[in-house]
Parts: sequence; structure tokens; C-alpha cells
Amino acid sequence: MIDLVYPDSQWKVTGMGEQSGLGPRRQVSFARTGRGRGPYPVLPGNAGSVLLALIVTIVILAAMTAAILPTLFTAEMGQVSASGALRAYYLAEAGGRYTLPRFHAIPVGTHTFKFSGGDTFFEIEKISETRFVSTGVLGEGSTLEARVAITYHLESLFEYALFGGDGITTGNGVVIDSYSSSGNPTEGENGDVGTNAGNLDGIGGGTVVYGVRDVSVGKDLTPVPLPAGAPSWTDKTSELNMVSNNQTVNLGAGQYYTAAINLTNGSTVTISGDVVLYVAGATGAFPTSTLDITAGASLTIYAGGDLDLSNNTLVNHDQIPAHFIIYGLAGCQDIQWGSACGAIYAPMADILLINGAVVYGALIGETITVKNTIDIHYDEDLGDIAPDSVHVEQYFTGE
Amino acid sequence: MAGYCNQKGFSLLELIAAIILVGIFGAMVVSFMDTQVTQSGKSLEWMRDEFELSRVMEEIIADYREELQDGTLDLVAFVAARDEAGEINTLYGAQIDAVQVAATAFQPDPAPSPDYTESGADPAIQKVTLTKGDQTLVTIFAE
Repeated sequence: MIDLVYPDSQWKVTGMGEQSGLGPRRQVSFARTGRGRGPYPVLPGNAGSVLLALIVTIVILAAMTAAILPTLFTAEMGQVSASGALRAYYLAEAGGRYTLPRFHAIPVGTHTFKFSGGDTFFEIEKISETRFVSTGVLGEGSTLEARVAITYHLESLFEYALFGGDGITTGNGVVIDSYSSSGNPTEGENGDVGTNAGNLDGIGGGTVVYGVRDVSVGKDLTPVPLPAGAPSWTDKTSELNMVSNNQTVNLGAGQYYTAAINLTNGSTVTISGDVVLYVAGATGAFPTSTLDITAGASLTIYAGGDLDLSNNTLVNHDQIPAHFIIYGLAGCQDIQWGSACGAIYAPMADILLINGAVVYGALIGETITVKNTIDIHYDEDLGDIAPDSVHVEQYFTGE
Repeated sequence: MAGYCNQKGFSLLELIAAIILVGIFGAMVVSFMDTQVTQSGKSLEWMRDEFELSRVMEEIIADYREELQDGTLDLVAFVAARDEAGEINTLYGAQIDAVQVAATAFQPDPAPSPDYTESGADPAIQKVTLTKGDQTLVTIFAE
């Protein structure tokens, strides 16, 4: 029996038989000295050691494989998820494109639009008349579910109390603030004024603005398009071109065309339904005439010419500015306006607000001139109507 | 030779067990690695196809937006000019395999459900499906 212990090693070699030559009883085994025990257990002799070593090796390899598998699986899952997100993104965009032309016909709330033959759909959450979220969804409920949401904001034509593309001029005793015709809580300090020009120096010291003053806004001031078929709407020229003294003309719900409007002394035009009126030429009214929008009715005018409604009586029974809106077309370049509850969007027009007027609504024009002692109360609810442009407000994945 | 009779080497049982274990484990590893090796190029292929489809879809959307903003959009004519893979490949220098264009519509589900299901065909709503390899992209154009 020979024991060889290497000084710097934990290994001890034990031999039996001769040290040199090939003796018949030579047997050498290896054992580890000290406390360090290797992966190979020491057995009496070497019986079963190969099998055990093999099992240990297999266990180690299996453990390594088990460690690698999740990595490979995660990488693959990551790729599948990214792929799903891309598809969901195009679904969300599809929802946006589908919704925009039909937005006002879709009620406020959440609506799912399901594609046939699959688990894909887009979801439209209409938050208000100017904002909605389109969410594309793939594989809902599965581990590979993908959701991408896009928020759309439809910018209103009437986001300002006063907006003059080339500037705003105001006199003394002018107050501009805000309120809400629907009665929603408001602080009254959203009476914003703005211009595409570089300054608002025309707003004098005698004017109080309860809101921000925006300059160099870059707002697109393009006239709204005339609705298709407007020149062919029911012709009311014979009744409206010259409304005789003390005569009353009633317009029920419908779409009408007239070459011009002239309201003479004591005459009245009563609006008793939802009326859309295309006035190809000028609109004028004598001081003692009346434009009367009855309760529950509304009047939308597409004005092809100049407009003077500064001295007559404008009655909007519901006191909701959205019920009386004037869109000035390219030919509408001069507007004179008095006390009224209504809104004007006439980007090519110089709008003049006469002394002492009280306005509930909003005025958008090329220039705005506000005389003295005037109150302008911007209706914040106007921000929910008449989308001007659409932009993506927010984009995110997941929920 | 007599000395070797007492040698404690491998028994037949050990060898058989070892061979079986190695065989089983080897088979598992080989089959797994085979899948990984043969499929390893697939991911790149998918990504490449998906990137190509996404690029083409963005090009189509850009054209759609341009016509929409110009007020010149005729949706039926727009998709008709892009309803064959060859047309799209020529227009956008692409290499997609197929394109499917179909008018679609969404009908409201029975009340009180607020939801809608795809049914019918409205020319103002066009569903476009692009395909390349195993990948597809679907979107909707509307006017």
C-alpha cells in the first residue's frame, strides 16, 4: 500500500502492489483529502461511480438547459409581443379613421367594433364631443394579448373667446371672461384671447381679460366648406330677401337657401326648429327687427356675404350659444355684431362689436374690434363642437 | 487474467442504464436544439417580413392622408389602385406577397349592447390586409 499525498493538493493517491511495472494486483483509487468534496463521491472501490457521475452530469446539463430555456422563451415571447403590438397599433389607427367621419353619430361611452372571424377588435371610448380613445386589441384574455390605445383630440373652432388672425383691438370698459351654458362648474377664467400675429398690443388698458393671451398661435383660419348641395336647398329668397315691415317669417326645421336677408322695420324671422341657412349674399337688419330662435330650436348660417346684425334684436331663447352659429365663407369680409348669444367663425372677416354689447359665445375673425363698455362671456361648451382639426393627443401601449 | 475477475469495473446493468439515460437525454437535447437551430432563422424572417409590411402600410397611410387633406380622396378609386400585390410593389418598391381589399361595415349588436360587429359592405369603409410570408397586417381606411 502506497499513499502519495501531493503537498499543494487535496488529492491523495492510494496504490496497492508494485510501484513499477504492471503488477497483477495493481489498483489505484483516488480520494480527496481535506474538507473539499468534489462532485464525484468516493465509494469503496469504483462500483457504480460511472453511473453516478453520468447522472450527476445529466442533472447539471438539465439544470443548465432549464436555465437557458426561459431565456430563449422570453426572447421569443418578446418578439411575439412586439409583433402583436404592431398589429394592435394598426387596429387602433383603423378605429380612429373609422370613427372620425362618424364621430358625432357615435354616442358618448365605450363601444367595441368586432371583426368577423377572429378575436381582434377596436374599442372606441368617446369621452366628449372633442375627445375619444381608440384601442386596438388582439387575443384578449390570452397570454399574448396586445393592446394599443391612441387618444384623439378634435380641436374646436371655438377654443378662444376672441381670436383675430391679424389682431384684436379693444376699447375701455371691456371685460372678457367665461362660463358654461350647460351649467357645469366653471371658474370663469377661460376667456382666452389669441392671434396669429406677434402681439396683442391692440388690447387696451381698459380691458380685463380673465384668461390667457396667446400670440403667434398659428391657428389655421380657413373658412369652413359650404355643405354639399347648399345652393339647391329650399329657396326662401322670396321671403327673406326683403321681409316687409311688421311681417313675420317662420322657418321650421330644414335646410334653406336665400340670395340675401333684409329685415325691415318691425319684421321678425322666427326659427322654430333646427335650421341651416345658406345666405349667398349680404345679411342686414333694421334696428326694430327681430331674429327669434325659439326654445329647442337652433340656427346655423353659412354667410356668403357681409353681415350686419348690430342693431336689431337677437333672441336665443335657450341662451345656448351653440344654438346660434354663423360660419362666414370666403365672401364674408365684414361683420357688425351687437348683443347676442351666439358664436361666429368668419376667418376672412373684420368683426366689429358695437358699444355696449353683451355677448355670450365666441368670435373668430381675421380682425376683431371691440368698442367700449362691452362684456364678452365665452361659453366653454363651445369647445365641444365643430371640430376644426384632429391631432393625436396621446399614444400608448397597454392599459 | 484471474486478477481481472475481481476488478470492480462496470456491470452490464450500469452500462445499460447509462446508455438508456444518455439516449433519453440526448434525444431531448437533440430534438430541442434541432428546433432551435432550424427555427433560429425564422425570427429574422418574421421580423423582416413584418418590417416590410409596416413600411408599405405607412406609405399607403401617408398617401391616404395626403389625398384626404387635399380634398381629393376617392376611397374606392384609392384602394382599387392598390388591390393587387404587383400594384403595391410597383408603387412603393416593395415585395409583399398579397393584398386583400374589401368594403366592410359594422352593424350595431342587438340592444342594449353598445357594441358593433363587422357585417355588410360599405364602400366608404375599406379593409386592407397585407401579407408577406406568415405575416399579415390589417387596417381600415374610411371617408
